[in-house]
This record gives sequence, structure tokens and C-alpha cells, in this order.
Amino acid sequence: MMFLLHLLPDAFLIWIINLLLVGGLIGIVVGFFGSKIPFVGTYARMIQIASIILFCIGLYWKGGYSVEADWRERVAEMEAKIKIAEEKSKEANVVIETKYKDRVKKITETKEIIVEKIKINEKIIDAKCELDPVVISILNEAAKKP
Amino acid sequence: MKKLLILLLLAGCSTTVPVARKFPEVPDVLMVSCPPLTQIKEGTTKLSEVVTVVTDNYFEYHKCSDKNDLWMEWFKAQKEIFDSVK
Repeated sequence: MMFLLHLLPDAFLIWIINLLLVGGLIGIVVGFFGSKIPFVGTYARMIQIASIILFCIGLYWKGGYSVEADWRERVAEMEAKIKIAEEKSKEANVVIETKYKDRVKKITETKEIIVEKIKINEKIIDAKCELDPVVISILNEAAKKP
Repeated sequence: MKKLLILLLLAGCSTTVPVARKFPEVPDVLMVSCPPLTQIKEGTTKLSEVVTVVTDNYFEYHKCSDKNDLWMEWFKAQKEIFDSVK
């Protein structure tokens, strides 16, 4: 029945639990010492038994509520930690994205320099070498994904 | 009334995990596959054209290699963050 605690608002729950505990305690005291009071004395035993039952229920619920509150606190703590972790994760992603962009920029710049060098030295490169089509075919074959 | 009671009692059997964790997002740049290597134009006899294509492929490899390194870095960083939550 402890899962029912989830369904009730906190303030109401505490109010009920405290009411049971205080009411039960008062009932127990009345049961013990109220035998001398004219009207109460007749029902003293019944009041005592009912009060003990109410007090026990209140005590059980108090324990249950404490455990429940402890869990709720832990869940809230965990949620806060997760939120921080998610923020950190996003920050790490930004760092990685920036690094990638920087590296690509560097690669592109270097590539442009090399391509430019090839263009400048094109005549020298082609002067002493004429490639057989079989070379291209072999190279292209190697470039294809197996 | 009986049905409501049964429903309430069965609700006690549910084991909902109160805290859900999302899998970390991966940067878009890392989710792009490496392109296939550039082929040399058939029939060319110029070495300079071959060198240009080979150079192009070298740089494509460098980009891909960097992407691979960053994937490892991403994993390491995210694992550290994930493990820090206890």
C-alpha cells in the first residue's frame, strides 16, 4: 500500500500522518488515564485499542514517507547531476566540432599549397614521363573499395 | 470499486525507473561518412594529373583520419562525463 504515497500531495500526506500519530498518542494516553473520567471510562479499552492501531498505522506511514522522501531527494539529486552531465556533453561536442573545423581548415590550406606547387611544376613533372593507360587502370582499381 | 482497487494494487507492481538518461548527441560533422577515393580520368597520360588525384586522395584520408581521431576523443569525453554521474 506504500505506493499510494506517490498519489497524494506531500503536505496532505504529512498532515494525515501527523494527525494519526498525535491522535493515536492522545488516544493511548486517554485510554490509560481516562478510566476515571465518567463517559470516557466506559469506552477506555476501545479507545485504547483504536488509538494503538491508529498510532501503529501512523508510525508505519511515517517510516514509509521518510523512505519515500529519501528516494525523491535522491532522484532530484540524480536529475540535477544528469542535467550538469548533459551540459558538459554539449560543451564537449562544441569543442570537438571546433577542433574538426580547425583541422579541416588546416588540411584545405595545405592542400591548396600542394596543388599550387603541382601546377607550377606541371611541365617538369610531365617532361620525363608518359604514363601507360595500364598504370591508370591499376591505380583506379586500387582506389576502389574492395 | 473492486476494479479500481485491483488497478491500484497492480500499480504497485510497476517498476518505472524514475530517472532516465539520454544517449549523448553526436556532433553532425562526425556523422558524415568518408567519401570514396577519387579516380583518375581514364586515358590520361600526364603524371601531373595522377599526382593531383593522388594528392587529393591523401588529403581526403587526412580528413577521414582526423574524423576517426575525433570519434575516439568524443567517446572518451562522453564516457568520462557518463561515468561521473553516480
